[in-house]
Amino acid sequence: MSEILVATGVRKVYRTGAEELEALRSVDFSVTEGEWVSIMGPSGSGKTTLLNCLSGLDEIDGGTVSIDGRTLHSMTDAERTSHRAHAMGFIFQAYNLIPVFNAVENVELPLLLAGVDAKTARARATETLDRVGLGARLKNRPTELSGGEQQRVTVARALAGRPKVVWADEPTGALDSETANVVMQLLGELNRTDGLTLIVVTHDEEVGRSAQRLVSMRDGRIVSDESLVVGAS
Amino acid sequence: MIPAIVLSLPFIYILATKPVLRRLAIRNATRRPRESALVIAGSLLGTALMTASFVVGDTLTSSVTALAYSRYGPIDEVITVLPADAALLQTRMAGLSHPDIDGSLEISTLDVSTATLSSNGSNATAASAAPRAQLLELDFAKASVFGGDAKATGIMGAGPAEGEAVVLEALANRLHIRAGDSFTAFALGNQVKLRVQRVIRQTGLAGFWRGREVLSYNAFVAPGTIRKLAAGVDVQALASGKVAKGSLPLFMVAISNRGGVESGAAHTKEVSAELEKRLKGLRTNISPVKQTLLDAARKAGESLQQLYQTIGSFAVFAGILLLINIFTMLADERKSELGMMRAMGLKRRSLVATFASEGWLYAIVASAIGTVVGLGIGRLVVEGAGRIASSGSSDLRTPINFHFTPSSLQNGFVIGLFIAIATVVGTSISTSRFNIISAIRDLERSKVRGGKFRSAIGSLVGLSGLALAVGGFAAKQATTIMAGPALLALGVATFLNRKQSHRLVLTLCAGFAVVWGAAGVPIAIGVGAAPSPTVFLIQGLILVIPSVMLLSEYQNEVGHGLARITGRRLAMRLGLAYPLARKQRTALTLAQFSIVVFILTYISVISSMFEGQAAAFTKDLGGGYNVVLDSNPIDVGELKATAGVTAVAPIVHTERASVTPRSTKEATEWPMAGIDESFLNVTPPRLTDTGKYPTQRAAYEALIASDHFAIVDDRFLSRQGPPAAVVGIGDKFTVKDPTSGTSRELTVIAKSANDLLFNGGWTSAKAMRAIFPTTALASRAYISTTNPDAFVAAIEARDFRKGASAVTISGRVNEQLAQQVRFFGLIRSFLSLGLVVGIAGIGVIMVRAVRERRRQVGVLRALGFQANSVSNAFAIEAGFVAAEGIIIGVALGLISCWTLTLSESFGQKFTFVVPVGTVVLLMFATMVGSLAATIGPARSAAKIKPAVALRITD
Repeated sequence: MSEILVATGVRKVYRTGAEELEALRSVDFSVTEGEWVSIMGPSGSGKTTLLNCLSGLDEIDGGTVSIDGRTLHSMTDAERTSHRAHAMGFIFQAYNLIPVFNAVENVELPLLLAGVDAKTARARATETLDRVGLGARLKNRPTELSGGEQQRVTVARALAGRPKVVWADEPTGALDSETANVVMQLLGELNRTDGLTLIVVTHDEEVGRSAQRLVSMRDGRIVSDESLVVGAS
Repeated sequence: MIPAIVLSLPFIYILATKPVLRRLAIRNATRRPRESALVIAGSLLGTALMTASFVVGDTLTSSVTALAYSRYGPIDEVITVLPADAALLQTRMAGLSHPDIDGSLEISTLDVSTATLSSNGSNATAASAAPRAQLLELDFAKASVFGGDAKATGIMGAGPAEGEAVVLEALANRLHIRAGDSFTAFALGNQVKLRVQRVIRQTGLAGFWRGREVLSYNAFVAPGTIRKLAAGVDVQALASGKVAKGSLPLFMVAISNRGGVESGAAHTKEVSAELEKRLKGLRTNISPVKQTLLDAARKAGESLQQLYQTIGSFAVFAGILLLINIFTMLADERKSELGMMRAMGLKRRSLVATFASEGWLYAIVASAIGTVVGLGIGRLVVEGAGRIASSGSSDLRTPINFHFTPSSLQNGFVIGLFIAIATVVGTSISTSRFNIISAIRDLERSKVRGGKFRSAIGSLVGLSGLALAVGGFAAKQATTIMAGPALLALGVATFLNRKQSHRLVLTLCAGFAVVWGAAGVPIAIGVGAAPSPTVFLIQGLILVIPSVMLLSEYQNEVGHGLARITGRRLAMRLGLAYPLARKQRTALTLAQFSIVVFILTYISVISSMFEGQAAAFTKDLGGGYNVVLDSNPIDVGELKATAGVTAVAPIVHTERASVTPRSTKEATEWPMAGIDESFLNVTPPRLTDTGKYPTQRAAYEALIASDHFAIVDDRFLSRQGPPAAVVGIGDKFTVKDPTSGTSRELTVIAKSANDLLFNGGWTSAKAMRAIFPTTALASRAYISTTNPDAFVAAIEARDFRKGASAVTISGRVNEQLAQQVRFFGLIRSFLSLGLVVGIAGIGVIMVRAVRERRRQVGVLRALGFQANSVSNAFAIEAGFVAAEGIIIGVALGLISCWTLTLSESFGQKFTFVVPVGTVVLLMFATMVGSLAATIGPARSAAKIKPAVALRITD
């Protein structure tokens, strides 16, 4: 398998007035295509910042990030946005669904952004929602869904565009353990069956250990990187 | 200021005694200074417009009151008799002493025409002429100390010697003369040449003038001059029916009350009673000139203030909706934290208190700034009004001087504060009714269907509406005729909402209300009710509110239709999604836009309809006549012999009749005109209502045959604002001669078209002679001529000795319409302030929307939504709401104006004319303004960094 993500010497500094906080300190990191990587660490260790910087949601202050052979931070904002629409999916802890859109409209959003025609987008969104077990809740708005259902819509939204990489920031953080299990099983299944590259930031040990690889962070640095695949060295 | 303090006390109490609530209110208010500034900007509209209305009223009152100084000075009352009775009056007035009177002064006057002649002899022509002037004889020594204030009299120095005149500036300017020059005065077939001794300013007694002109064309002459001009006039013979050669000399005694120019008028009642007692049995009239003028000044000011307040109410209403919207958004934004506070034990009333106290902080600042802004707006309106006034005849132009009183500023402040506080408290109560869990979890509010209580309220509102409608039609009250059926529909909707399909009930009831809103005004006018400005405000609300409710109900269908047309483009879809999902907010913004666009369209169309009616008005007012001639006197034979003249109808006309309707018992000085059979020799002016008479001719014949009938227009006895008929067909009013005191009651038998020619009420010539036994004079004529413009020029040049002054009827109509159109323009400018606020409002709402949706924008950007698509979506959202508001407003405005053409509104039959250019410009400017107001928020939305936005937790 080839490396889909390569990050070298990534630095991120937050500035508040005269104060500077180095959130990422020269991080080197790579991910192979189809790999499921968990990033763990205590609060403030830089997990979410790493996710934001590697996915191109945030700017970096040093280093390079390339995804699928393209250097992310040398692209213009519009190019990076378009790249996200075509190649990435996102799952957030707070679901972050668009409240004025119903489930199917939320899911078809990335497809439309990627230029898929409306009819195909609707069909694929419906199919994806069906796959995550929400085939009967297509027309419900986020406020009419439970937390687990909303997160499943978020998963469907992240997957509907068939992205190369899915970024998940605390995907189970707002869910009870039972619903969290269901969501993680779903993601695992998609990783296995569709070869989806999954990068998950989590506090949850159980979620972290479901991955094939576990990266630990502390004070803006990667302090350990272990493979969790049985038999791997 | 006491009302403002009383209004503020509860909030001051809360802020002073509840530390937690104080902290919440103050910190929330100061949390985002830029947005607080926007809230304040939205809140200050009410205060600004109310203050501006008061200032406009103050200015007019002050400007008219200034006439008390420039034409009366110390004169409070005037007693008038013909010279024949002068001796009797002098006898009765001898030894006058009363604690409220500080002086009396004898004055003789004669209406004359004046000219400077190009040569001597009977063939002389006028180099310049002043057709309406007045000669006065008085004792300069006594006059200069009359009333005790020499400056207030305007009379100083030596009086004119024989053959000399002291002339006022206006007359000197008109005749282009100065000290040492000569001019000639003409009256009663005689003439006298006068040398100007000096020119004086129009102040106080020197400016004493009995006409409706603002400028006084006075010439003070030596005693005996008037007698010389009136030589040969047999007053007793005139009393027995002989026609005079012109206006007769009058003998007057001016009375000065104790006190200053204005304060002296306070004693008018006591002084008039004393004078009436003293002059009992004498053929005379005591005219409280100062009090009448001050009353007129007050009424004019109040009337204009009310007009601007009512017009401003449209914009104030839009401002209230903006405030509700802003506070609803604030409450929505803070829903989770408010829910948490409630969960922690904060009582609902405390929540209302903290929200309302925050609102009070905004309101108090907004009212203070609004007062200053209102002063500025008032200044601009006064400037505009001054320009309009200066476009009319200079003789009738009241000089407009900007003026305001501290009480007006206080009133504007208090009313604005009240509006803001009432809105904020109402919205706070409404927004505090949330479910704690729903608020914390940021769930949508569940819709509450009305209970039995709501049905009961509905029944009550419906029954009140029915009662109002029935009562309104019975009493011919336009406001209740309009409001009643609309309230009935509201009551029925509220009552049925629980039992029937919401959509069906709303469609039927709101649909009925819209139809009524459009048709109600012509129906009210049709049953004889007079529409006041308030009626148009009610009409606007009845049209706009149900229309917006209807559109909101069908908003999804509109949105889906639009999405289909635009091919479901993503920015469009997102732009439409929020207005469609947040129907209540969208409805508030829509109503805010619609009401202002409605009234602007309405005024534009009405203005255009007036403008386009010149030919119809000319035909209505003139009938077969095309020139109106004023001359002292009218010589029918001579006029008939003039080249091109085909018909002459003499009119016994006076500008100074005291008219008192039986219904109000309030005397008003108003013109009256008497006609005889010759008036019907050609087609007479059109009557809008012939009463019980089958034809217009029959009505005129009845008028001429009787000496107890009258025909009036809708403006009769009503000076400001839209026509408000003071008397209708069948009503009676008394006409009194201010010189002799003779009076007669007349009955209205028909209604004429609007009196743009200042004829006043029509009656028969014989009625005029009965009411004005010694002064009735044919001083006006309606003339039919083959070449009106040539005739006007020729007659003024030929008959300058008689003070001939002629106008073509079409010229006068055009002049009046142009002034009317300019007035509409001024009102439109005033109202466009509401539009500015509406546009700014959409900007404020979009700023809040961007803040509210930062996180969602972050998600969209993370998912691949381009920055320009984000700004496009916000622009589409604002554009969509603005477009709907514009379409509703324009459509309702056009429909309402069209319904006005179905009946005779404003005393005229109108043709529906759409000023396409103006309406398109209005729509375009509103749309461009709305989009421009969205640029800032849309740009800031586009700049939202996804990683930053996704970190936001509030």
